[in-house]
Amino acid sequence: MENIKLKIGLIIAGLSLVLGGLSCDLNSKEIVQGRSTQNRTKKKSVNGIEMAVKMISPQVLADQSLRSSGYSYTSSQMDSAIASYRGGLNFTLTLTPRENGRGHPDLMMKGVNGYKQYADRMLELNFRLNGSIELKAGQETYVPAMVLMENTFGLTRGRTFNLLFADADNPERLLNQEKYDLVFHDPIFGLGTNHFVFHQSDLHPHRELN
Amino acid sequence: MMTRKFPNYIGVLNLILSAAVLVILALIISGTIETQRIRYVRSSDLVYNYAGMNEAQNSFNRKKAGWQARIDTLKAEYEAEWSRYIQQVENLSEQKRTEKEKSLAIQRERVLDYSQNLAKRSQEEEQVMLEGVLNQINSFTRSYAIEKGYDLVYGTTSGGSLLYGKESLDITDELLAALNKHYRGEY
Repeated sequence: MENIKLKIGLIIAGLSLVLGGLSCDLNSKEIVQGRSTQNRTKKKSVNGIEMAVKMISPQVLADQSLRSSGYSYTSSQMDSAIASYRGGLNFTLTLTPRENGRGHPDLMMKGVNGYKQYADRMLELNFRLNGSIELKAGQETYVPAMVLMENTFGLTRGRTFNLLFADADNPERLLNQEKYDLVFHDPIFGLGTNHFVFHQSDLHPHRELN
Repeated sequence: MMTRKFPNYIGVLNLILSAAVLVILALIISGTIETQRIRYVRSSDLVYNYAGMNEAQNSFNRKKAGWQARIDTLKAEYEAEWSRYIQQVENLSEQKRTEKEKSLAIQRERVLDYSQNLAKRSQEEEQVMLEGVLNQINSFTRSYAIEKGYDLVYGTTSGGSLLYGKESLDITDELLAALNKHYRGEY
């Protein structure tokens, strides 16, 4: 009986090894494909830093805004909130250093040696990233109307930047393009120029609200 | 009767379990052997046909052309000023002539300084541009090799140590296609 238990244990161990190998393949495949299939976030990984870009539709922003009030809301209130958010197009860009035991794991400190470099990094990420990001939609190229870095008070390794693009002449033109190419020309971490392509279908509300 | 049948049943079960363990071990071992794969890429073909490299190079060239245009303007302004001075020099007093020559020397120094600073900046920006492109290629190649189960990917260079590789082991084209698709964000 002991013998049988031992053999069953061996079989289970063998199967775990095989299944473990399969799940490892799936992860690396996801890296090559460069995106997460779960939440339509486009991801790329270069030089030990993962870049993740998410497009946030006016519907999602309106929903978040109304929910945060803590009160229930009517559909007309929702329509009104959506209308107020249709003036621009929002994205988030998250840069997260991979934890590999080399160098500092925090983005603000990666490759920094001394206070001067730290001060430059703070200035660069807080105030100078506007010139490194653009959105190509249709025939137009838009520069961000706002780039805002979220302060995490050192609680996370990465940092998220909220990006807002707006078409001052015709807000609907920006929201009705078939293809959006968000381009990030990294000036700091040696990531080069990176494209993150989204489509009109990514703005579809029901998918993101679910 | 019952006591005789029971040991036989255990024996068959033993045999099946042993066979299953052997099959699993064989699968694991053969899988390990099979994944020890080596491939190579033609490095220069990969780098120079990479869409990211072409875009970065074009963008850098546009920037460089802008700087050169600025230098040309400053040089033209200096030359025009010098020509004006040559035309007027005989009518100028000694003091005015000295003042004008001093001012022209300062202008000339400025043009030279500006030109040298831009050459230095151009070199630095080209280095940053190349660093970004090479980091992208290296990071993607790593992920691609992991996905495909390659244990080693060599890069051939004109001065490198890889002298021969069977054509079937050359993954330059497939890697380049995947790399370009990934760069354009079309996945």
